[in-house]
Amino acid sequence: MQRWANPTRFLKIAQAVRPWATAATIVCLAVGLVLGLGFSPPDYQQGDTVRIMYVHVPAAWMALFVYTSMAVASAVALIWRHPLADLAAKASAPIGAGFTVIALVTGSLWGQPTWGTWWVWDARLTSVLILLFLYLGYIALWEAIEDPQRAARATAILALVGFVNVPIIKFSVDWWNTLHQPASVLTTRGPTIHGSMLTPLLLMAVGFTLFYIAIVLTRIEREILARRIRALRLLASEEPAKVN
Amino acid sequence: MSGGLAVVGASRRVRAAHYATERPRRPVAALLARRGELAQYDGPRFGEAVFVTLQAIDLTCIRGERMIFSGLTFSVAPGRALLVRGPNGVGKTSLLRLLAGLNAPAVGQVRWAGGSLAGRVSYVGHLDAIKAALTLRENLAFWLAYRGHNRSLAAALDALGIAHLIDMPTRYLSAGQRRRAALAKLLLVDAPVWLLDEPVSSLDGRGIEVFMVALRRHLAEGGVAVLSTHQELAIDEAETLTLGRNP
Amino acid sequence: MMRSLWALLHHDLRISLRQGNASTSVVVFFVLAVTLFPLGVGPEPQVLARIASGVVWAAALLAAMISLDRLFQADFEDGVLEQLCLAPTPLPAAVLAKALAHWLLTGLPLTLIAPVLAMALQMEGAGVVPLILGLALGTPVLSLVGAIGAGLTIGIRRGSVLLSLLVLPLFLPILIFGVGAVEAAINGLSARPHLLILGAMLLAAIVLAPLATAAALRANTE
Repeated sequence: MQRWANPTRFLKIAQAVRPWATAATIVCLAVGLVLGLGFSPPDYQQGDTVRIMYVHVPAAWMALFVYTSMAVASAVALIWRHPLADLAAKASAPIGAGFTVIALVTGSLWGQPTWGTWWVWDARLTSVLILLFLYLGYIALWEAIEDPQRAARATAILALVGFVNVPIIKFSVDWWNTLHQPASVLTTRGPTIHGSMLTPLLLMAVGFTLFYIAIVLTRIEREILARRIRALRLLASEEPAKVN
Repeated sequence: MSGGLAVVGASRRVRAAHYATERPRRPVAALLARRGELAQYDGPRFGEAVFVTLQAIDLTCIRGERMIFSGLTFSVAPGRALLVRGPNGVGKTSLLRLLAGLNAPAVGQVRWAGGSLAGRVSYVGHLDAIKAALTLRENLAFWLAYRGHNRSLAAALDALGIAHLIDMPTRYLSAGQRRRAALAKLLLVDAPVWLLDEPVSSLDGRGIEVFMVALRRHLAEGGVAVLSTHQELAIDEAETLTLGRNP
Repeated sequence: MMRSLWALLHHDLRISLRQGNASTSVVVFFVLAVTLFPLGVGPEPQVLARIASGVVWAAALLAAMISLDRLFQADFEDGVLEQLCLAPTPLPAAVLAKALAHWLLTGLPLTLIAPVLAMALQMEGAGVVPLILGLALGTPVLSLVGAIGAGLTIGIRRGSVLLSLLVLPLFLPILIFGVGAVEAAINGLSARPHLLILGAMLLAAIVLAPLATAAALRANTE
């Protein structure tokens, strides 16, 4: 029972936090989208195309943020063997992969009108693509190992190895990109961003973070409940043996 | 009885002869340890000045999501063995792997001289750890070198009755012969703690006899052994731990 | 401890040589993979010369990878891995010895044969020395980082596919700087910075990869 004491407390907290996180997510995303799509000014170079930024940039931030959280959770799981940390890392991975896909797809949609092509082997795009592979590898390893304890430890090690490698990969891809002379030049270093654009951008970023929190809490909760069911089933299947 | 083992290594030959005169003999240290004192004693084999007790404290084992056993506490004094018994699936292998340090206990600890057992264990599991592509000599010579020992193979192989197979690729060995080879490693490697999972499975009567000689000698020298078995093994120095389903 | 590691290295090499030479198939794979490119992109010397360094490096990456799945799998199956976990010699040191054995059987032959293939692809002469040096520094990193993936995927059915998914993204920096060294030399620049970075990666991998691999092996033998 002691093993479940912690998760039980977690479930209570999660159930209390989730409605608020969900409500705040909806408010932030709604206000952010209305401001971003309706009221923020168009870019003087890119026109209305720039509005895709309000989805693209927060998604890209979240892709990195979620991977970082996974690495932290994995370190906690490995060092202190905290059972919830394993679950948090596992629950985060598909969400992070989702953000990464959103960042890539919106980036591609943005690239078409701006650069005239759907895909450029630009340093940022390439490193985000590799980040997606890191996520997919992590998820695949979770699914490949049947024993949950083993899977938790192996994936935690993988997350940390990946985390150590992210800066190296980023650095090497940047180096590679300057070597290869990109076909088009990014316009990210434009004029410092104006307040009317910054407010919706930050609102969207906060909304994405709250969305992540709400979803990750739900996923952890479901995983705990699923494990309890499995444990109860196991217990039930052992009952007859005791009667013998 | 010690005849089969009297030839394991040059230095051991002397000791074996010594034991032959006054066997069966409990090490002084074991007796002192039981009185709660640890004696300074020149352990001939294990390079440890003090004979120590293997202690398992409040061990809990969880595999998958299943609690296998919990609150298991016992100690094995030097010169003593622990026979782990119980039906299949009750956690005998789990317990041995836990003692060896291959698995981490969910709760509890395994202690040896106040520290850990790491590096002091000879473990024989279900797998014989023998490379099919290599000969018996190459296999055992590797483990000798890997554990940093420098002694002749022939004696141990002779003791286990597999000396004639020494240059045969191990893929041609029978299950019983492979098991004997795995047990030969016990004799070659100096480890104070033997953890043996079904050591006599697939051994014939003669094989079991030879194994028992080796085990008694190990215990007589102040070693500790924990072994799981389904067979009846007559070991005077052994306590029995029966694992069962929780009442 | 050195004696133990020497014994392990010797043991691993002996097993590989006894079981039909592992490096032969790796080298054959390497040559075949490189051969695909002239057939695919056409025999024009200018085109081949342009892609030579990338082709040789990418093929070397794949060749080093295909042999990784056996690195610990056999030891896992016959119980040797358990015994390595229990021996007084630290497991990370054992991993280092096994990675070295893997490199001697794969990375080293690849490094030696690469210049021949580069010449066949019309690579400019200036790139040959950086290619060899780059492979000599880079392929040990492939063995070491690959060992982490191999350790994570032991005991998994169809683990080799998963292994490539885990390991290839981690190999990319090696590819980039390996090719970078060759391209720099061909373009009249110094290959030194690229090679120094590869050297730094090798040092970091020697220190960190065995620790991660040992942790993975312990997790998976549990």
